Amino acid sequence: MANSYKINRNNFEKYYKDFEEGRLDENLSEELFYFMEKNNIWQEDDISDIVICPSNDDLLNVVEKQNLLQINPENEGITEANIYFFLNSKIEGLLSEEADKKLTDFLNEQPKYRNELILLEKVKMKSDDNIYYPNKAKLKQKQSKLLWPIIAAAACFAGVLMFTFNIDNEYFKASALENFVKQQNDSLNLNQTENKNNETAPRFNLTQTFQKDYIPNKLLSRPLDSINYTPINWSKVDTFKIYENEIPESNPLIEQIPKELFISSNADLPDLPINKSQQVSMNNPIHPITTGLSYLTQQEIDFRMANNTSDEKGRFFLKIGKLEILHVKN
Amino acid sequence: MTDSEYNKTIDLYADGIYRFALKHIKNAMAAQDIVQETYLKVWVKHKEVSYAKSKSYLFTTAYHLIIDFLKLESRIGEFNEQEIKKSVQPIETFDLQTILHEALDKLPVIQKTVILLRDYEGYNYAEIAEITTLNESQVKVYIFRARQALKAYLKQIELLV
Repeated sequence: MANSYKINRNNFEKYYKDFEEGRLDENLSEELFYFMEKNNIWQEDDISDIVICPSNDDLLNVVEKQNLLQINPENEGITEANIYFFLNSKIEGLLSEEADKKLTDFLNEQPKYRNELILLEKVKMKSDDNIYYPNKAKLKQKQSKLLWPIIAAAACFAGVLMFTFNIDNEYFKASALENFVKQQNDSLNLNQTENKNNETAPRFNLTQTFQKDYIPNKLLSRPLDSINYTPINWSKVDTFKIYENEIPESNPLIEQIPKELFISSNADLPDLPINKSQQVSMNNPIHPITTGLSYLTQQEIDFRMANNTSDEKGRFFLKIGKLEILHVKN
Repeated sequence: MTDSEYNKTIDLYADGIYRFALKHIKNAMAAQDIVQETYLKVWVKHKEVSYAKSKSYLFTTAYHLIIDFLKLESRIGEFNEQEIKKSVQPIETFDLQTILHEALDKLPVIQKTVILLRDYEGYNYAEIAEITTLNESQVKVYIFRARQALKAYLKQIELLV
């Protein structure tokens, strides 16, 4: 920097405006920023706006050139004009070993700059760890849980079963059955009114109807894979009859029970003879799961299935407590 | 980054972003808003942002929000009034960090930003350049100028005390 300065407190604003409008040459630009830095112009209220406002690129081009020229000790030794760049570089940890040695030598020769180095070390800011963001939990987003994949997998599994076995909706027409029971009872009531002797006529009740076990209770104690069962065909349910406390064999109306339907209900029914042609070997492919679920829920849970064979149709059987579903693929 | 990684960035960087915002805008509520808005913006794009780049992305977003905030404050005059009030406050104690923060508040925004990113967050020049959309040389010069200014301020205060 030349010893004779053109820029002073009285005229620096004019030079600054010239710089802003691109009329200031490189030397004067350097002098302007040197002056502003030396005089802490940026701290003054009246000038703060113009220091913040200038284009960063314009501001830097001059200083940057100066900085880059002065930072290489190979090109130029350390002098009082460029000492601050070396001091700053030391603070930033950018000095090479050689430059650091040169700086140490310079500081030994010029001890007044050692204080400058100490001051620069002091102005290195330390992170204030006492300041922390108070509501981190609110910022967090809910993570997608593994629950959805499990539900999706279960739904897929159920879907596959539905398609595989083509479940007949009739299975679930409980209301139709309810109506049927009501009609039957109404009919019996009517008969009772007409014929007083028929007081002991049996009554259907819904509970009884729903307690149907189309695998006889007595057979349930036997391994399921050799059970003889007959699926319910709801389309023929209108011929359904239950005679409580009566042994079907001794009842002449037993013939009214269709062959497709077997109801044990609460009646003490005898074992039906097992027709070997109706025996189907059924496996439980998810035995550990059903066993585990049984243990956890304290309910009897079982699942059996058989694939289509040349002799038998594919079928599955699901038992959850008292609920039992059996379906034979059409 | 995944949802889990996004939540991890909150644990890792929310404090830093909050400090960064608070040092710029000197208003705890506004700084909290900046943090919230930063994370909301990042959440929208979190699938596109890699976890490795998340810190830089977060600070870049916060930086732009801070600049917008300061521009708005500047327009409505509150910022300048606060500055004037602060500048006439007498210095009661010679606590180095307090004085440095006072000096920091007087720096131009860009110098303050680079110093905070450098000293508070330990970013290197390249990372600061990425956040502030400057080049590395510019960052280097701004840090130099900021340190010189802070040093000058400190020297002035030491002389007064």
